[in-house]
Parts: sequence; structure tokens; C-alpha cells
Amino acid sequence: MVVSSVLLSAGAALRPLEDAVRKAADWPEGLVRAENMRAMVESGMSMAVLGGFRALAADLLWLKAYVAWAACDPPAAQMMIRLVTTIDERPLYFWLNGARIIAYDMTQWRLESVGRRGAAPTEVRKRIVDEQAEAALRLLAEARRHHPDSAALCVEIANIHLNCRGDVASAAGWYRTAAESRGAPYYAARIYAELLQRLGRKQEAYDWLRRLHPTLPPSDEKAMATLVLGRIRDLEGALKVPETKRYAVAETGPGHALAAKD
Amino acid sequence: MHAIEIDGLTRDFAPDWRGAKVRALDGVTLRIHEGEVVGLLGPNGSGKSTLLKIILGLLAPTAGQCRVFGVPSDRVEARQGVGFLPEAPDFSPHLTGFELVCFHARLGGMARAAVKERVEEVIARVGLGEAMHRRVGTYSKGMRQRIGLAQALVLDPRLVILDEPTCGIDPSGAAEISTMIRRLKMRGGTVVLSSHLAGQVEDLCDRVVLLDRGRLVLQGSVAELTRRRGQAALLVDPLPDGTLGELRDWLQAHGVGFHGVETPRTALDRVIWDKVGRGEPAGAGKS
Amino acid sequence: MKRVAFSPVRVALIAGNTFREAVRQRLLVVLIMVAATMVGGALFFRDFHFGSSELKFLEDVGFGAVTFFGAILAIVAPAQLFCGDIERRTVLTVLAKPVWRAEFIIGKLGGVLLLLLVFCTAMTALLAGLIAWRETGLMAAHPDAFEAGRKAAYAALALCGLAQWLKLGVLAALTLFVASYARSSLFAMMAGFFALVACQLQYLARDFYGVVESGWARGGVWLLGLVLPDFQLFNVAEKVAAGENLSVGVIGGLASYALAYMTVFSGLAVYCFRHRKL
Repeated sequence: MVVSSVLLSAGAALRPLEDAVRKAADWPEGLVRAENMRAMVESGMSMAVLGGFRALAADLLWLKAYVAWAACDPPAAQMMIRLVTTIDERPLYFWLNGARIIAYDMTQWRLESVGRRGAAPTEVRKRIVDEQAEAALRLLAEARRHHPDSAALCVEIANIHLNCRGDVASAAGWYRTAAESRGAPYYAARIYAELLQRLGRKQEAYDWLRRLHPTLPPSDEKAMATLVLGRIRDLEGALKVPETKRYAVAETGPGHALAAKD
Repeated sequence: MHAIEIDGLTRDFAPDWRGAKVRALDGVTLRIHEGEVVGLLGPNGSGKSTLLKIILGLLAPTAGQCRVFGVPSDRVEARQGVGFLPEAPDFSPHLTGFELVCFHARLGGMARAAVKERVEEVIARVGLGEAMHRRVGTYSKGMRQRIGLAQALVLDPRLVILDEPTCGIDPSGAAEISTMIRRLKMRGGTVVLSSHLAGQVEDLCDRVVLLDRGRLVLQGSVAELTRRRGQAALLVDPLPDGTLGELRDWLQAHGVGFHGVETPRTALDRVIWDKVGRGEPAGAGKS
Repeated sequence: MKRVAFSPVRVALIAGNTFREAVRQRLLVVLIMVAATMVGGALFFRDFHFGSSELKFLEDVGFGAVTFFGAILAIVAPAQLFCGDIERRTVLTVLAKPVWRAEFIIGKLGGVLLLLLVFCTAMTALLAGLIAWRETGLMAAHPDAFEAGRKAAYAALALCGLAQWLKLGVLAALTLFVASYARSSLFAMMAGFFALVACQLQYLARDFYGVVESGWARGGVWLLGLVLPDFQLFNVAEKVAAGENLSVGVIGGLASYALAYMTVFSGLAVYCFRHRKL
């Protein structure tokens, strides 16, 4: 009785401190949540995770996910991907590859299971593709909760919208988000402009590329400043931009934000 | 002054959560004077260990009082000047004998500067001088008993409580411990000795207390308790043939009852000690 | 007769003796060696990492070893060292001297905390050495990736070691509390491991509290969440491995939280031990 009372009182008295520390440290959520506890116990990794070998346990489970992937077993692979990303949400590798497996590989497995290409009705095939794309997008949305600033995740979301769902507008939106994130690949901005053109929004694409070109470092081949300039010229032709209003490259070349004249 | 005063001491135990109470001590009243060596006798379960634990403040009485040098035994102060050797002590095997006794000396408040000399002295006195820097795990049962005695004596206590001090020890070791107890007595120390061995108690103690089923059933000096009232014994050289009849007739003629003839015996441990003994027990007569 | 006050000197003596006993116990020494091997063994796992960088992976696995083996040490050491004294009856010789039972309990805990401090310090130093060695190798191999200098945050690594020690200290105090009334060291160890899992999952009680609808169940879950400390709070290694810095406020808060729980558990241990029949 005395022991219980003391423990309860101590717990109640220390709860504010506990909350304050959790808040100050912006603590990650617990590894094991009520809904995935069973899977973790079944995977045999619960002790490893609880003991502190989180990264190692996640890596081992990722190997198990590969085994399920090699066996073309969608439920097992999906469960393992979920578990791995729950145990260790830090590496983007798990999220990105997990989403690709769900969006592309699993779609193929399921399509093959309903019959060779063309054998199944189109609506069934579409439903499968949509379901897998939705599942992959859900996983990536969860990933963004943990990595809100990641450009790679935005690119992956855009790819799934574009390749699986054929949703050019959504894909364009995500490529733009990716392009505006820190550490974004140069191609994200180029593809965004490309998709705007496909959507018939050429003026927007032109404005975007004009803003982009001065920011591209001329020494970095991946930035493809010349290619971007070529696209600008193509769009100026298509949009019939008067000579005086055309984009002019400053003497110092691209990489200088003030080089463009309007 | 009384070293220990016990009045109406009772202690009950509940063996399990639903079991009936077991009375380990039942209204024991006892006085032990300073400088006295008292033997606590009784069969297993008679309450000897419970009584010792209450004296040491390790157990609280259900009823009654116990005072050590005038201080209630449940107070830490009562344990100043008390040395205790539990039955068959099994000290940490990872410490050396020297470290173990040093620890107890420091714990009892001995100044750091005095510890080394005193510990070496007391360990040598219990006959472990050669083995003091060996780990206790390598000690024999008898050596562990002796190092236990060293930790009990290192603070030069006024009251020493020994629970079966010679349990599991060979006769020579038992004799050495007996010698140490005698030495304590000569120095005016008070000793409470709990033992199964009536012979040992008779040999060492001034007074005997007998417990049975938690009750104090008998107490008194060894001389009082062992004397056969109304009888006397003569020790003579072996009688030549035919003289026994003459002696009996003479005694009867003088009105003295004759009950028989016995050959005097020596205690077996004395015989063993004489055979295997290595002279006087270590440290004897050096106190 | 002179009054005997609570003495830090006696506490220190008991702690020192407990520490000395612990470092000489074969099981504990083997455990420390295995933990050191595991920390060093993180090097062999480095090709096995999928997502994170090698240095972060080393940090993660290394602190995993400290957490895992440290938890075993924090449970086994107090259970063996305390219950061993009770089972061997050597506690009687100590308490037959003018020693408070509280001094005995706090001394025992002090000895175990010292053991855990040495363990955490040695393992963190070993891990830091390992990371520094690998980082030097990587700097030579990929100088462009290390233009800004070393990447590993060694000060944060030390704070991680401190956080681990605080957590293990709470676990040791909890185990000592169980041992103070346990009949055997085996029971104390089992209860210690159970408590470790429960404390690691304490936050689940909060999860359930938000989900459960029944009033009684809600109350039960709330009480459960209140009784145990939350060990998830001490998992700062993850933050450090992720490259985040720890603020002094966080470490101060963690230290206060840990010290408060150590005080509560050792106080309860003293309470139970005072009422225990020896």
C-alpha cells in the first residue's frame, strides 16, 4: 500500500518534468506502438529493439523484407516494410525503397496474379494500380511526418503520381515542392517546368525557368544550365515573346540571380 | 552493570500468508552481566537464533524489551561495542581476508591510520596470518569461521555474540576458538555463546541458559547445574586386586553409601587435540 | 552511549566494498568484456547498414551495445550483490555493527552506480575512439566529404553516455528496490527484466489512454503510466546519431528525472529493507 502510494505520487509529481523534457527534446515517438506490437513480437526483434539495437534490428528486418520481395509475397513484404520503417524511421532508404516496392513491384505481382498482360479487365488492372499507388503514397506521407524537409521524398511522391496514377497536375505540384526544398536535385525544377508545359501552362513554365536559370551554377554539369537556357528559348518562341522582353544572360553568366532583365 | 537485559521477550512469526502464527520466543526474561560468559543451549527451533537477532537489533520483538548496555537493542547505538559471528558465515569469496576485516574495522568507526596494524594483529591471532591476502573463496570452512571471528573481534568489542562458533571446524580449530573465548573472558569481555555442544559450553561458560520451544527452561552456573547433590567422587590410582572390597567395607562401616566404581574418561576432542595438536593453540597466552 | 548519526563515510565504505566485489565477479567482468567486444564489433557490421552513414551506424550499434549490456549489468549487479549478502548472511555481520539499514541500501546502490559509471565511461570512450579512427580513415579516403572538418559530435557522444548512465542508474535502483524484499536473486533479476520492458513501453500506456473508452480501463492505464518511469526519454543516442545537438536543458531535465526516480526507488528499498526479517 505504502509502496503503491509512493510510486503513484512520484509518478504524478514527476509527470510535468517528464512532459517538459519530452517537449524540450522534441522526442521521437516510441518505436513500438500498440498497433504494431504484435508484428514486432512475431518478427522476433522486440528484444533487440527494446534493448537498443534499433538500427541493427531494422537492417535485419529489411533483409527479411528482401526475402519476401524475392518470393513475390505482397502481404509479407508490405508488413516487413511497415515494421522496418516503424522500428527505424531515420534512414530515407527504407521509405524510398519501400514505397517503390509497393508502387511498382507489388503492382506487377498482383497484375500477374490476375492474368497475363491484357487478360484481366482494364478496370481491375486500374484498381490494382491505384490501390498500390495509394498504399505507397500513404507510406511516403508517413515518411514526410518524420522527414518534412526531404526533397527526395517529394520527388518520389511526384514520381508515383506521374508514373502510376498519370496525375500530371499532382506530380507537377510535388516536383515544385521538391525543387524548393533544401538539397533538391536540379532535375526536379526542370521536370516541373516540363510538366507545366504538358498541362498547357507554358507562361508559368517560362517564368519558372527564367527564375531558375540564374540560380544554376555553371560549373556543375548536373545543373544543365545550357539545357535550361535552350528550353527558355524554345518557350520564348512558342509564346512569341518580343525580342526586348526575352531573357538575357548576364556577362557573368548563369548563377547570378540579378542577371535576368524584365 | 548488565551487558544485556531482557524482559518478557516474545517473538511471533507468520510462516506464510494464511498460516497460523509460530511463537519463536515466549516471554523470555534474562540478565547477562558484564564480564560473564553465557552459553545459550537448546535444540533446533528452540529460539536461540531469534534471541540473538533481537539482541543484535536485526529483528524486532513482538512484545517485551531487550537492552544492550542500557540501550534498547533496536537502536543503532546499541550495536556500538558489539561483535558478532553468525553461524557458518560465508563471506564474499571475492575479497581477501585482510580486505574483509579492514572493511568491518572501518565500518565500526576505526580510524584509517590504525586499521592496518590492528587488522594484521587480529588476523594473526585467529591463525590466518599467512593467508590474510588470499581471497576468502579459497579458504576452508574453518578458515572462514576464523576470519569471521576476526571481523567480530577487530573492534575489540565489550560484548561478543557467537552463534555456533565451532560448527564444522576440526578439533584443533575448535580448541583455538575456545582459547580465544577464554582470553576474551580474562580481559573482562562479555560473551554470549550459542552452541549445540554442551561439552563446549560446560568447558567455557560461567552460566548456561537453556531454551526449549521459545521458553527459558533452565539457567544457572555450570557448577550448579552439573553438580550431583549428595554425592562425592574420589579420584585414585588404579586399585590393587582385593582392595576394592576392603574399601567398600570401610566406607559402609563409616556410614557412607557406596554406588560403584568407574574409570575416569577424557573428552574425545581432548584426545584428538593431544594427538594432532601443534603445541598450544595459536596466540594462546599472549593476550 | 554516543549517538550514531547517518554517516556518508559508512555509505562510501559500503559502496567501495560493493564496487570492489563487483569488479571481481567473473560474470560481471565477462559481461563487460562482451559489451566491449560488441561495441568493437560494430565495425564488422558497418557494411551491413542500409540507410544511414557509416559513422551514424557505428554510433547507433555501439550505443545499442551499451544499452543492452548495460541493462543486464544494471539488473544483475544489484540483484547479485544485495541478495548475495542476504543469502550468505554476511549482511548480519554488517548490520550487527552500528550501521543504519539505509546506509547499507544506499551504499549498495552507490557501488552499483559506480560500476555502471565505469562501464558507461569505458564503453563511450571505446566507441568514441572507434568512431574517431574510422572517421580519420574516411577523411583520408573522401577528403571532399569532410571539407568542413570532422563530422562526429564527440561532446554529444559523451552526453549520450551520461544519459545511458542515468537510465541504467534508475534501472539499478528499481532492481535494488525489488531485491530489498525478494527472497532470491533470481526473482529480483526476473522482476528487473520485466520492469525494464515495462519502463521501455511505458509510453504505450499513454497510447492506450487515448484509445481506451471504458472508464475503468482508462483509469487502470492511467495508473500504469504513472507508476513507472519512461525509459524512452533517455534514448538520446538516436538524436545524436541523427546529427542533432542536445541542449543543456534537456540533459539537466533528464538528470533531475533520473535522480528523482533513483531517490524514490532507493527510499522504497530502505522502507522495505527496514521491515524485512533477516
